[in-house]
Amino acid sequence: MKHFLFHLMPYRDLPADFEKKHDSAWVWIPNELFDPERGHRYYNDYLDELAEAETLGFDGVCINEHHQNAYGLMPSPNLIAAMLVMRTRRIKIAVVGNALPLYDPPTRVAEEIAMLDCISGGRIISGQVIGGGPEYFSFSINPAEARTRFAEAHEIIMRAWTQPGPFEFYGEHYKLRYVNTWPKPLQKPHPPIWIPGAGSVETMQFVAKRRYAYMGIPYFHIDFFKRNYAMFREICESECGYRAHPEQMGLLMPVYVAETDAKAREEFEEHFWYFRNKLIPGLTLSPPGYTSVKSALRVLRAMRDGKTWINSCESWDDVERGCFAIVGSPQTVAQKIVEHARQIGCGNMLALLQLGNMPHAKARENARRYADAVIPLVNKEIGNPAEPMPAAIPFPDEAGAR
Amino acid sequence: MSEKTTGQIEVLGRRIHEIHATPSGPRGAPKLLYLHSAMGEATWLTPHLNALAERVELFAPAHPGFLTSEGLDEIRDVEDLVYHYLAYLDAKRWDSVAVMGVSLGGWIAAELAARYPERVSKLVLVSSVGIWLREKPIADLFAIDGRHPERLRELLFHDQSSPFAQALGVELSGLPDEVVANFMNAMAATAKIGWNPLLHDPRLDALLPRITADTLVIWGANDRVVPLEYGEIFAKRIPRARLEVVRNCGHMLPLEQQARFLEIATPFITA
Repeated sequence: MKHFLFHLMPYRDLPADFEKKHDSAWVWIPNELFDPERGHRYYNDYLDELAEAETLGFDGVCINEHHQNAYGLMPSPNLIAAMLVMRTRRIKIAVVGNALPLYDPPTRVAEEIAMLDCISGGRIISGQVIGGGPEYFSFSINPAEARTRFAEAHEIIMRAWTQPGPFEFYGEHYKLRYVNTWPKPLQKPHPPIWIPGAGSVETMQFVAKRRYAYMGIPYFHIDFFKRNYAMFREICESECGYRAHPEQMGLLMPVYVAETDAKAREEFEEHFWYFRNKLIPGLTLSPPGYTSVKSALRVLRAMRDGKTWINSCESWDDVERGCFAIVGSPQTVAQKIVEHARQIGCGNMLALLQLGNMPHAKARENARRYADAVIPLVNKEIGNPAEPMPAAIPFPDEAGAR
Repeated sequence: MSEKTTGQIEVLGRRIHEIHATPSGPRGAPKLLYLHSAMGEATWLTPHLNALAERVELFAPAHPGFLTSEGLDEIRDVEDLVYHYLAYLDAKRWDSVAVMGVSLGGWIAAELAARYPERVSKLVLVSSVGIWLREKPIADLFAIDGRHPERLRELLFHDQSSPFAQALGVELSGLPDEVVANFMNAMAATAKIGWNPLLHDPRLDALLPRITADTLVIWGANDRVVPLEYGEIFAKRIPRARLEVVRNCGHMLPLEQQARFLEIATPFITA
């Protein structure tokens, strides 16, 4: 099993009455609430937490991109990756991901990831995402173009990394006369590609067909994940004719470890509620046209009918039942990870070890306990896969003809 | 009373949903092309359309993306809709016709009349979007949180207790899937052309003086989506235009003040 330390870099000091005065921590959250002195401390705390993952023995770290919000202070994950490249020597740095439609031209992503991959000696994982609903408000990009922009941008980037340049790309959204990316990535044919999804079959097919890795969007009920990963494995097998490799799947989950179950909950619970009450609302903003009406209806029904989404948690019982966080002694945490990972079939555990307003010292201690006590227990049960992860399918050339 | 049919017509190969209603009296009532708002009120006959159809021969097509109308994939901006309606006029073999547009539909009507003045014989703009006043921005309906449907109602209506206003104040999750799907499609089709720049075309303001038709601009004094100043600008820029302001009225003028709306609009169209 591979273990990644995932960080969101949240704003830790929103006022106690924040959720009474504001609808959400996204897009329209007044930026008067951002205190740069605190920002200075957060960034340095969080960079220390991420860099320390290497000495603790993690396989890698994950960072991601969000804009105009208090949930995650990483509008530019590539900047953070650049700092981490210089502070680590061994671990993978997964940028999960760059929101491709927000880069115009998207060759910018091809360039920056290639730079990072060269400098780091081939340690970059390139996550590529459509960007969240809130981002379409923050960037004033038409949400109706989210999917087609993503598809074109992805094609440009993959071809920029793998096909001889210069070449011309004339799409619906991007019209580039000369694509000729210097530098190119060190990893061949290109860095691993991770794509997150929230259960749409189209995304799973896209990932399965190209042998990329699929990462479930977090904060859903565990049964929802299990259904989704079963569907992903099924698509790999029936539509693409291969068994999904464990490292093609990652489970992202808040995790907290203490000496005992009781102590873990006592130390962790307030941070969960800060996260759920203040930072999550707004994350699911879905501007018109961002998803198909079919998917939008499915989400609406799921929210209406069941306790599928993190915001349905009213009590600690709800959290435990839906496994919205894995919290307990090293034995409890390891046993749950093993159970879920076996059922899901995933070979990557992406542990969110700092959550909400969890202070620096506590987050470090949590990561240390996870590395020292949980990783060995989990890895005793789930070893490394017999076969290494196969390379992605080379990017199809058919579009090049157009 | 009127006789109405709901059917499909073909425009540029797109199947378009259309309501056609004719007064049941003697033939010869004037034709009116009605371009609906983002609410998609041509998808069902609201009372104001019923009442209009007692005096005029009413054609109310649904824009591409609304209800079963096809072709949204080919619509990138409002200009594509202008060509869509130009083809619609050709399909009907009309040299020119009276056009009424409400809100989103008003924008399309104004664009059509400004670019092809000879195809529009009379123009009625009701609470129309399409231009932009920096000091008085159009309200961003796309940003309304689905958890707070009452905010949409507050923006659209002056009198919160009117029946139409009350019908709007319900949460989506409580409605049947078909209604929700229609609403989502309507919002998506509106956002496709009006997301950015928000519900306007920066070129339109300069094109308005090209309009040659007699024009009636009708506005609610208490419009919180597109403030009255927009109505004043439309009436000022369009050469043969007159502004009628309806007191105690918000953005959804034909629904909120139906009687006043008919009193003002019907004589203008039938004259």
